[in-house]
Amino acid sequence: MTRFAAFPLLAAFVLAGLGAGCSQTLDPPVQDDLDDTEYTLTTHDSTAVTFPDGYSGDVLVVGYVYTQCPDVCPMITANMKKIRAALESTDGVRFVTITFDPERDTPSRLHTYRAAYGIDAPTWDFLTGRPETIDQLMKRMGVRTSRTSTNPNAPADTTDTYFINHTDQITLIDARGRVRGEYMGSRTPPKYIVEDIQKIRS
Amino acid sequence: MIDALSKRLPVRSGGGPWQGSGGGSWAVSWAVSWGVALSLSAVLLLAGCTGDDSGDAPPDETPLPSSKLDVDQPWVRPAAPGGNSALYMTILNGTSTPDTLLDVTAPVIDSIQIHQTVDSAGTMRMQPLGETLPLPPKTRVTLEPGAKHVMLMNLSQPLTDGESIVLDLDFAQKGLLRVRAPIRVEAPPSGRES
Ligand SMILES: [Cu+2]
Repeated sequence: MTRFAAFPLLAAFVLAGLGAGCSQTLDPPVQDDLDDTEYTLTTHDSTAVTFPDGYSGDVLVVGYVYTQCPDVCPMITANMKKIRAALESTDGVRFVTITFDPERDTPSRLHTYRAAYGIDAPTWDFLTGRPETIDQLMKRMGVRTSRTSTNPNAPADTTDTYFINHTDQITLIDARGRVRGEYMGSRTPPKYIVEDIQKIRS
Repeated sequence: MIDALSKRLPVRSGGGPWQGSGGGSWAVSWAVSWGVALSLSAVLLLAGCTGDDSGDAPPDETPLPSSKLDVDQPWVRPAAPGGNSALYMTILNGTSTPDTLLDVTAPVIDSIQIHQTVDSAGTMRMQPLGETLPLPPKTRVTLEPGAKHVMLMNLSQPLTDGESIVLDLDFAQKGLLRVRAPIRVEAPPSGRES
C-alpha cells in the first residue's frame, strides 16, 4: 500500500474516532435508550399512562418502592423529596415512584401512601400496573426483586404475607427517554443527582 | 479505581449491557466522563458522605442517664392502612443491669418484628433479629434508617406525615414506658424535637 493510499484511510479512522467520540460526549452519558419500550401503567389516580413515553419532554426522576416497606423505600422517597427541594426550579422535571409489588399496591393504596408521605405535587405520580408489565419494566431498569416471608419460621413457599428484597435505586431519564443516571436510591447524596439533572436540562 | 468506587456505591450488581463488570454504572460514568483525577476526588467526596450525609446522623450523643433506662427521640415512618411502619429511637440503658425490649404496642399495631436492614450486593434485605431486643447495661442501642428498626406491622389506620402516635414500650426490667413518636418521612434534625 502506498503512502497516498494510506493517508485517506488514516483520515477515515481519525474521523470515525471523532464521530464515536461525539456520541459519547453527552454528560452524563446515555446508559440505555428506552425508545423501543412502552409500559402501560396506572397512576395513583387510576389514570392510564405509558412509561416512559407519557412523560417525554420532561426529565424524569424514577424511584422504585413497595408500600409495605418501611425502612429503605421511605429513604428513597425522602431522597427524592430532597432532590425536588434542592432544584431551583422543577420546571421540566417530573418525579415518578413505581411499585414492584403490583399485586398489593393498587392505585388506591398508592393514593393513600402518597398522601401519607405528604406528596401532593401533580408532577409526582405513583405508578402500578399488571404484574407481567411491572416485571418486564423492573428487569429493563435493572431493579431486582425477590419475595421473602414475613414469618421467619414459615416455609419458604408461604405466599400470604411477604417482604420484598430489592435493588436500592433511583434512575434519571432524560426528556428523550434515555437513561442518563442510576444511583443508590437511599444513599446517593441528593446533590449529585441534582447536578446531573442540571446538566441534562442545560 | 472503579472497584473502589463501586464498593462504596454499588448502584446495582447485575444488569444491562452498559454495565461494567464491577457494577456501579454511576461510578463508571463518572470515571469515564471525568477521568481518573476527578473520580479520585469523587471517591474522597463520597468517602466523606456515605457515612453521615443528609442529616441522618444521630445528634451529639446524649450522656447515658444515671441508673435508669430512657428513650431518646423516637419517631416512626408514615404508612398506608394494612401496611407497615418502622420505629426508630435511641434506647439508653444507664442502669447496671441488662434489660430487654419485649414489645411495642398501640391500638393500630397488629404485631412487631425487630429487623436489621442489610445490603447484600446492592439488594436491600430486612433480616429478623429475634423476638426481643437486648439492651446491655450502660449501653446505648440506636435504631435508625437503613439499620436496626422495630417494624410496626399490619396497621389498622394510616400513619400520616406530620402527625404523631402514642406507643407503649414494654421492657423486661423497666416495665411500660409510654412515648409519643412523631410520624416523619425522614429522621428528625439533629438535636431534640419539641
Ligand atoms: Cu423491617
